[in-house]
Amino acid sequence: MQRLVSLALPVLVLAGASVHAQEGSIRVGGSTTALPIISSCAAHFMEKYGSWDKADSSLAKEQAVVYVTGGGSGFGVKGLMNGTIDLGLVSRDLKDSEIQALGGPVAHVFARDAVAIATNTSNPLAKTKQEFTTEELAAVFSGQKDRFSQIDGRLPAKAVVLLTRDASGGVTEIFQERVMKQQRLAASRLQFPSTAALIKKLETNDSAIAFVSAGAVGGDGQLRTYAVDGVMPTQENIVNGKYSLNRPMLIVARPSPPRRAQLFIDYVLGDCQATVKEMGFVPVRAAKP
Amino acid sequence: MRRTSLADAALRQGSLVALTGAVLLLALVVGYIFWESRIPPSSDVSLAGFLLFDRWDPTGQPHRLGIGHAWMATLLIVGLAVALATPLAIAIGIFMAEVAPPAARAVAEPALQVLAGVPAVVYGFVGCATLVPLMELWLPTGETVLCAALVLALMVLPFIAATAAESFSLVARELRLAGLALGVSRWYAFSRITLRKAAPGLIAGIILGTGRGLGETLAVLMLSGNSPVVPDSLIGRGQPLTALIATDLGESAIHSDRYYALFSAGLLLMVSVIAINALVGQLKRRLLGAGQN
Repeated sequence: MQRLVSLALPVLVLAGASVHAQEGSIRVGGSTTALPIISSCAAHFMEKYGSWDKADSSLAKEQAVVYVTGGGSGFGVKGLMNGTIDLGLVSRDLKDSEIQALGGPVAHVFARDAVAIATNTSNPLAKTKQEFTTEELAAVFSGQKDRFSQIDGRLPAKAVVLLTRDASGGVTEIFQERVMKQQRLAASRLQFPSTAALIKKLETNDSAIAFVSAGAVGGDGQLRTYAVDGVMPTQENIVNGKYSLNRPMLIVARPSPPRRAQLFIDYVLGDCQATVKEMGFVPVRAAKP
Repeated sequence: MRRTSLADAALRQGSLVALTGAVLLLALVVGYIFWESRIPPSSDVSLAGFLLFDRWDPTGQPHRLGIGHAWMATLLIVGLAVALATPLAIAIGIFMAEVAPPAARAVAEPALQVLAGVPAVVYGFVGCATLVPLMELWLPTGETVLCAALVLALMVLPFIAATAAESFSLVARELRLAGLALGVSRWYAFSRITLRKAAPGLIAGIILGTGRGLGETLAVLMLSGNSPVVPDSLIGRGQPLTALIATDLGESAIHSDRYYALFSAGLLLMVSVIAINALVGQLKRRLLGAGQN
């Protein structure tokens, strides 16, 4: 599904460009990790309101159109600066230089993306291991420790199977940045086109270990997650930031955004939080009391 | 009468437009891939590194853009698949052309066509559901080069078998009958006359199967592990060129180094397939020439 979305992207970008001047539309773009959430939110938004006057009676009766494109977090900021988009999607904290360049932008965290270390419950590690340190994880996922006996001396010398999402899927980015740092992921890892495919493999292969979106493994009884540096990836620890493998997902606007953009931000922070959860990310507003 | 000729003219013009359109579209695809390819993809990647030595790690720091692992996996998987399929396909061809009674042929021919028409994702799925768990009884993962090659062999089999059957039946009857009239055994007539005469056609079939195997994406992606590693053995994992492109293109920004690397990989694949098709054309002509005399 995600692949379909990414293939459809250039088409959407072209379509977006050709109606550039159309009144009554807002353009949202940036992080590809946030893309599926926001595309779905935009579809719901347009379906719910239909025209702008239904969302806010002070607006003209024009068809409500929200264009959503990818481009990466960098584009989410740059596009906002040069006016290509009205709202930027950024899956990391804003840099000071960016905040300055945008003249104090309005940035809202609408979700958190966390990476959990997971195996199935029959994995040898499930019996002996409760937590990993960051260094241990780097050694495992770079292929330096490729036998269970090297991770824990009590275990047999069976080969460890590493599962990852393909290419630069959102979780891979954080994992590279916070855990692997300068090291490279082992080339022998199995790459999966979707989180669902990865989880299915993880459930059936007793030698497999993966880093995967925390929300996606949350309710799965066949899988277990591990603490990283002593902290479990619970909703609470993710929201308050104790669990280190997480990042905010931001929706950013220039200072004092136009009414239409503000309406969409409100929608993303409100009704759309259900979609955030559905897609396996951690809804931020809903988690707060 | 005039209306008929008008319809004729319209049909002729229409066909011409359609043909021109199709050829132009093909030229556009080929041209576009050439245009978007850079070999090597960026100034900090050497030609040898790109084609042979570097690993594929576009997100690491600094990035590495080597496709050596991918074409090695492609060669290994396709080579193994064709090697496995060919003997079986020739046997099927002999059976259909020489031995089978019409009733058996009436069943076998459509069956082969169905085998050729099954979508790749179904092969991939069936492989994932059957072969992978079976191999996992012995191996850490069932996704291996061997697993991909076994399923790919099944996928190219109907192409080779159909061509083999066709070229056996094209061998002139008189030649065979003349051979048999001299009192040689059926096997001798087959191996010394039919097989020799049909050889170019057989080779064309094998090459056709190879071309089909090279382009296959989904099944090999699902069954090879899609691991960007040089396959170290038949039970190792790999990532064929097609799988590499399918996996990474969606994530690479337009006109980035990674994008150029993937298009160059596509160019390599396209050139191989075109070369193979040209070779098939050559052999077909020779086969037809041989069939006439």
